[in-house]
Amino acid sequence: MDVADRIDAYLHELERQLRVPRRARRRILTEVRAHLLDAAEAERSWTAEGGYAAERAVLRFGSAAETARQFNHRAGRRNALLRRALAPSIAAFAVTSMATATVWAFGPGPAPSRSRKAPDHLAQRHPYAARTVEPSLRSGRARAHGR
Amino acid sequence: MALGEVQGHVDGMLLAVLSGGPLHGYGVTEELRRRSGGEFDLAEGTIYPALHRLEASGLLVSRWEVVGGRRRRVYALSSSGRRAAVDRRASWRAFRCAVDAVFGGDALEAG
Repeated sequence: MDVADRIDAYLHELERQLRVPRRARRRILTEVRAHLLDAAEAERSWTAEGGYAAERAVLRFGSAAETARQFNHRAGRRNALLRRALAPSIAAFAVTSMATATVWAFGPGPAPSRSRKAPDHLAQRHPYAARTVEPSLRSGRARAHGR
Repeated sequence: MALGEVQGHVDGMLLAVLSGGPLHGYGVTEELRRRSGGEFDLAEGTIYPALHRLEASGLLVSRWEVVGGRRRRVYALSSSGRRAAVDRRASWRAFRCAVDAVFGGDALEAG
């Protein structure tokens, strides 16, 4: 296995175990890759064998599981803090929503509207007229007919 | 040196190393090794969560740079990081003096 293959295998294992947001994961993998390539280059000054140099670089870095565990622990703590900070706001929102829903469901309905449907004869004569008219706008004839 | 003995001081040591100027992650581990005379044989991967944590707490700033044809994240102290580095150095000196006094180095060597 050459240097790139060994480092890629390590990065693949690290990626598999990371439980962090995608953007953070990309950053971590880019940083670790650069680190391992630097370390492997430094090891190459001691040994001519590239695979051995990469193996030494990976050993010095530490296991993928342990590295991932530390990043995951940090991300987990941050999420817990965020949840704790947001909890009062979420609870207040939930209570307000429930109270509003209760008032709408069981409270008094809206005040009855004073507007009425336009009389049929008006609607026929003035097809562009609005469908509803205020009582004061009703024609005298309509009023006389008691409609 | 055992990992447990160093672990509580990793943040302070990273700040101290970065007091010398901006470095990328591999540079930080090399500088740590050089300054400690090879005594701190930490798993190099442990510094990255610490660097990210220090950055999140505002003590470090970082940016991508291409160095030697390779994309690297370079870390530097922020203004509060510089103050923190000075504070940690002072508290470490006080702690070291107290431990020296307890161990009584001169008396033990003489005895």
